[in-house]
Amino acid sequence: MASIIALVILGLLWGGVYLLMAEGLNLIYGVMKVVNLAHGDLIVFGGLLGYSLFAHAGFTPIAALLPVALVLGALGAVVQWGILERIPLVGADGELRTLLATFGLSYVVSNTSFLLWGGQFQSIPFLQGALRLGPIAIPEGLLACSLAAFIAALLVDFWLHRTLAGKALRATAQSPLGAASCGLEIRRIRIIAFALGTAMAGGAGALVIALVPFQISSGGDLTVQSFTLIALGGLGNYLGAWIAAEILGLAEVLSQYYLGPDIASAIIYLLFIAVLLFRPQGLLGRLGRV
Amino acid sequence: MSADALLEVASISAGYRRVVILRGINFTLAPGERLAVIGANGAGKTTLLRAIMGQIPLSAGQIRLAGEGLDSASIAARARAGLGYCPEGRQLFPMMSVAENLELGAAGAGAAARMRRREAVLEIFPRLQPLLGRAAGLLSGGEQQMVAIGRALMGEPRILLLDEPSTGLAPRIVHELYAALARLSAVAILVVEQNARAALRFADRAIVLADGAIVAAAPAAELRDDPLVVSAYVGAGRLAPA
Repeated sequence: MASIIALVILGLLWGGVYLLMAEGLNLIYGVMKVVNLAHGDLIVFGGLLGYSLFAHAGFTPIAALLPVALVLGALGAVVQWGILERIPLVGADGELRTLLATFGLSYVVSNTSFLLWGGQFQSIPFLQGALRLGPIAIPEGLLACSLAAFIAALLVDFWLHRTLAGKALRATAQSPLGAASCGLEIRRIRIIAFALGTAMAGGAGALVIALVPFQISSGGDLTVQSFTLIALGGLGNYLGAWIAAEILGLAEVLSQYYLGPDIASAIIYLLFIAVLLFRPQGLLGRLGRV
Repeated sequence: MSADALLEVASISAGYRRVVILRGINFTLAPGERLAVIGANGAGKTTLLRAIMGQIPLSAGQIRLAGEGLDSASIAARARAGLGYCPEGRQLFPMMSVAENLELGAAGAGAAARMRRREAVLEIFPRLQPLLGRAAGLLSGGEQQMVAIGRALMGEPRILLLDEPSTGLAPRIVHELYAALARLSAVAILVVEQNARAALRFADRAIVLADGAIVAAAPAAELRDDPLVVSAYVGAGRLAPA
């Protein structure tokens, strides 16, 4: 029984990290209907930037979260302003154009990472002990990173739902024309949304590198993992993403324990296929959309 | 341009890509005036509002608001300049509450001004008061239209541009809606309507569009009695006083 409780706790903690990883992608899709194929590479870039802050200035992953998020946010703003904002989204080829642009961006980001950090795996040793609750042992690093991820996701959620700027962003996601009719400059809002999405990706990377070693080619898997999560939650669905993150965390931890690590990585994709077959609108459908 | 014109639409032509819809449209709107634009489906009524709001570019002509050209202004800039727009399909934020929809209509104003304007909107549409916390997407068509107009009024516009406000609404609701609009004396209203009867009853003046051009312009009362207009856009015998 204790082992099952421990596994559930671990799964929920991983869910927090997954949530922060995927939330940026969700936000960008929700506001702009752009599937950012560079998302995983931006997570890796953020993680490796966090690694440099640790190696050269002694920053822990949690201390690195904010500076990394700020750098990635600025990078995202430049990408949106300089590239995506200039690509016509309307018309039959609109989505294809943005897919190709972000596909190209993923190459630029991963090759820049290669030039800056090389091709070897990097990780940050952080809180390597375990918190013992009777027979249950919880890795301290995972606990700290998960709590930080939850707090970051909650802060973004608060900003989206309680501030006028956040509401303007949600309004733009629901009706760009309605938002413009209210006097909101939707071009500026799209830049803010993309910057916030990449900042969250970077922040997630700064935390995840303490849990899983990163290498420049890790980006592809992280993009798929994030995409699976938001598809499970419903594209652009904020509440669904929270639930999906926990489901994914639990599924991965439980399958790893009972079926082995090889099967565990397949479980995510099986879940993804099942969602596409039986619930393509996601777990919650329209409820809880950004 | 007439000295008292608030909005001047001067010889504009516009359309979609290479298809020209509007051809040489000319009219003015004075402060506080109510102007109806009627015409058959495809006459260019919605395109006219889109051109005024900058949703589609002009291929010729100019639009001026209080003497200022709007040529390079974005939709948002036009809204901030005083054009309160209720576009086709209402374009509410369906997953947000009525209160949030109204709040966003005055996003540029301070909290106290937003509250004061909301009270003013609720006086015009008291039916919205108990619905403030409800998601806009869950409201009836008439209530949604009230939210859309209320949201536009939250920006304290100089001109309200309404695109087919009566579409899909029961006659009783249409009557209620136009009665509320008739109480707005401080704002000029440009309404494009398929429901010519309701529009001509409401407006001071009206223009009739056909194939993207103005084919008639006169006081609304005159057009209400014009047998050609009645037969083409209203339906014979349907203009009798209520």
